[in-house]
Amino acid sequence: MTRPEHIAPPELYYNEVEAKKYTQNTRVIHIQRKITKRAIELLALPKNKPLLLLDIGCGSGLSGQELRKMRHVEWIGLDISASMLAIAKERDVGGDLCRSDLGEGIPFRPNTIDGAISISTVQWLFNADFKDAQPFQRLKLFFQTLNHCLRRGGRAVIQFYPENGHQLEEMQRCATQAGFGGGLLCDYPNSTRQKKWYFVLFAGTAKIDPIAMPQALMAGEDQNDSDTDSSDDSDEEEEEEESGDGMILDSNSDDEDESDAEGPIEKKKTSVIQSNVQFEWKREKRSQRDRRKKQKNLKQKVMEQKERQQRQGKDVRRNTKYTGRKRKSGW
Amino acid sequence: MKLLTHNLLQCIVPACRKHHYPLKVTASLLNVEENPFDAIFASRMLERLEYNILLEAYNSLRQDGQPELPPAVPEDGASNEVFLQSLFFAINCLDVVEGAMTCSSCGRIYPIHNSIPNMIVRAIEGEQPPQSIEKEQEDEEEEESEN
Ligand SMILES: C[S@@+](CC[C@H](N)C(=O)[O-])C[C@H]1O[C@@H](n2cnc3c(N)ncnc32)[C@H](O)[C@@H]1O
Ligand SMILES: [Zn+2]
Repeated sequence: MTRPEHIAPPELYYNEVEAKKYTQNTRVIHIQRKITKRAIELLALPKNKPLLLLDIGCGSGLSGQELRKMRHVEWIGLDISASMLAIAKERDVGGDLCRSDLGEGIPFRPNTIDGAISISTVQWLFNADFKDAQPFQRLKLFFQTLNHCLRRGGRAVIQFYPENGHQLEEMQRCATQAGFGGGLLCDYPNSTRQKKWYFVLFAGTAKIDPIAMPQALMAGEDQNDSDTDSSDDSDEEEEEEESGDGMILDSNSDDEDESDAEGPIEKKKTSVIQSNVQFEWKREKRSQRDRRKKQKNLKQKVMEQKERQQRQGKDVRRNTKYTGRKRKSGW
Repeated sequence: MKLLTHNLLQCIVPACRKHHYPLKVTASLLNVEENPFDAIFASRMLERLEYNILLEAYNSLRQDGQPELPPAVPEDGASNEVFLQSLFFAINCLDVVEGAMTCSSCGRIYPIHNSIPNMIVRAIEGEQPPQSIEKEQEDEEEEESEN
């Protein structure tokens, strides 16, 4: 499938026709609503408290309109596409709207916003869409200004579609450098269709708060990540039983595969990032036991083997969306 | 655009960004939304508002019959119902439909159209380039010499 961000800059891609098509597509409506609900859950907002939130890349308001359902909550939507914003206005989605290019920074004064969601948007920032565009600088500025405008401890939940592991790492690095605490979370990591990446970021808390992070199934893939949530222990015990199934893959072949693609720089980067950013894996709805009954796919086998190796204190490569996948070399 | 949004916005021209300059708002078309009064919300927003900037913006847009804001936040502002009602109207009901915001420092103009302010600074392909800053500075100089 072609990614829209490869076709044209967002303000041109989401023109009048496309913006209308997007907003009326029932499948899109359903998916965006589902993701937004999950993002709101991850925001973990205090109940019934008056709040001012942002919807970053609000588009025509499919995401933001979910924010409207909360009492005492007002929101402001930011988007670059005039056509998307015009539809949001027309549909009366309840938020105040503002046209803005995220790569130029979030245009709010420091310490003014209680929380932010961003649904299916930030991957656009990886493109150099105009002359002299510097995606990395834009990404950096985006996270910096987002961190500034959020009130201390305010959360930003950013769901996006990374194209590869490099993008995940760039983003992580920018978020950490900007002073965000928190980490990355992957819902349904074993489902190609349902898999979703979220950054769950805490403003102004460059240290991880293990209590505040959502529950993890497999956390802290790095051996130097000693801060991991203690609730993982029970999961690991459960996993232990699985090692008896005798379906261990050759770890070397997997490692080679990954280093082909990601190169040696990755190691250096992760060691910097890992002290601040924690990887989390959302528990799948199905129980582990149900899953075990099913035929294990390549990915599951690799993951399970990695977990075993981690428990044994071995140096194991970080899990990415490419873990256990067949791949071509190069990005 | 509501005055709450206006109050939190700042100029994002690189030279201005760090200084958090406020924007002066003007309007050629206003709308009043009848949003139900939410005292808790208004009182919670109070601490993050630049009251003087709100006052200036609101007083320049306010029409006859609309609530008045006191020159300073009353001491019991966060719990004063009457004050909070005026505040709520000012920040959450008045809507600038057509107008502009101007940076008090660099003169950058951010147009407001269809209630949506355009905060994009770079030139977007196929769109009219943003108004020139030089022109603005000239205007300022003229004003000064008049004084
Ligand atoms: C897939 S839509 C998602 C819209 C909305 N969040 C939803 O869930 O329906 C992606 C949106 O990101 C916006 N976008 C892309 N790049 C942007 C940028 N640099 N600044 C602001 N918005 C951007 C697009 O205009 C588009 O409306
Ligand atoms: Zn300025």
